Amino acid sequence: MNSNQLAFYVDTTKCINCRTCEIACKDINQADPGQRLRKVRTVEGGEFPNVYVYNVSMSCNHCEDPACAKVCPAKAYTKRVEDGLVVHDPERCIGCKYCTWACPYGAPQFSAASGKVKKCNMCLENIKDGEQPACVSACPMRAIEVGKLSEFANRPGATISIRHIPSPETTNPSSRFKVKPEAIKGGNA
Amino acid sequence: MEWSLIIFTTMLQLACGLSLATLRLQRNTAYNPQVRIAAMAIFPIVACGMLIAMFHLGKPTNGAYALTNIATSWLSRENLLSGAFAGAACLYSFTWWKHKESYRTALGIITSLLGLCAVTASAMVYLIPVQIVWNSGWVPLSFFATTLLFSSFTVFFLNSSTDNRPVIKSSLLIMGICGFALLISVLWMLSMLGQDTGDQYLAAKLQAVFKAIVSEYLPWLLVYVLFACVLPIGLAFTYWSDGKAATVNSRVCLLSFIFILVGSIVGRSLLYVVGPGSFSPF
Repeated sequence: MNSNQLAFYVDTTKCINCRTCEIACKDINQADPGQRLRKVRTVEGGEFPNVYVYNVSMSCNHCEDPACAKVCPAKAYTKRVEDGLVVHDPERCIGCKYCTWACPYGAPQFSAASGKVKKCNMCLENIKDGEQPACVSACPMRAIEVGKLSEFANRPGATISIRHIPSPETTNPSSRFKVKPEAIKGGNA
Repeated sequence: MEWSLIIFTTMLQLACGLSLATLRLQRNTAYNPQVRIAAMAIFPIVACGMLIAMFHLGKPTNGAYALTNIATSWLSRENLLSGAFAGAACLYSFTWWKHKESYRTALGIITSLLGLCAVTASAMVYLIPVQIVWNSGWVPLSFFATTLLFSSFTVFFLNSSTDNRPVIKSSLLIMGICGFALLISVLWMLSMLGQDTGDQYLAAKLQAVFKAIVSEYLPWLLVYVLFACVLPIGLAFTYWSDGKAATVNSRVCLLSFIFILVGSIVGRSLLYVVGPGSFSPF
């Protein structure tokens, strides 16, 4: 693991599914209609009276072994050495959508209007200016943080193995989440 | 539904099949005008396929970048190998058009090998870990079986009115085997939908795909099985006995080819039904 790997930490126990993070992300990235670079998913399950619900806000997980970079024929993806962020170069993108097939989390989003894919880059320009990504600033519950993966991974309960979310073994995502017990993959619910 | 890719992969397999068939036949039937037509058709078919594939791209003007990640991307490799196959096919088709025999065999071998490599690469494109239904041997099996089916059918068709029984029987045998292989690939794919993954996300994805296949897309699955799997087996059994092949009506042959082609296209489209878009985590 890159010791400088930047990552998202999302406290899903605070998430109220307001989707302000989605809107802020869409706004700063000028996403086209239908593109959701950050997405909030609500998962419900269990049987009465033991029902559960949890919300997961996820964008690009800036994986350790990004499938998008591996499969892209145009080398439009780069995993930065300095901070481990996976960034997409729209100038090289040919719009083949192969990355949208390969990403387990649906991070790359194709736009028919532009003919290219767009993806979360953790608001790199904001990070360079010492500011926070749009989703972090916008969240009214302060549920989303950005920082070093090495710090987040050591937080008690931090996980990426979430029920109903693809398994992390394929690409080793860098994001970490705080989840309810029933949201843990393989847990009893 | 990625129609441009469906047509491209089918045309690539058809062109490769024709290349193998004409290479097989050129020694015995070098002056057969139908073999010449089949050989001349290889380059236009693969070229049209590649042109149609460009419609899949959102930014075709950036297409040159698609060859830059040969190291890790099977799509990049497929682009390179398809281009090389098209180039070799152009020269090979030219030798048939201009009746030039001197380099024809060597070009035929090179074209066929490049065609098989291109088909391999196009199959490997679909072996993506996250696409659990695709990430299995049934995809390359169906791609190669379709290629050999086109090849063997062409050999059968072009020899059906001749007395060349060994060639006819071998082509019928391969046709039958390809039909069985395609049937096995269908059963293999269906068996994957019932696997126990122990993962809630994957289980939900497989369930969604299974529902789509057995309800909305069941008629198409039946069309694929009947036209691309059962029909070749039926032809093999029907014309196996000596003398029967000489009675084959060219219209029957042409109709059979159309059904096999339609079945293959339907099969390729079903590939996308079980792939991305069938179920996503968000």
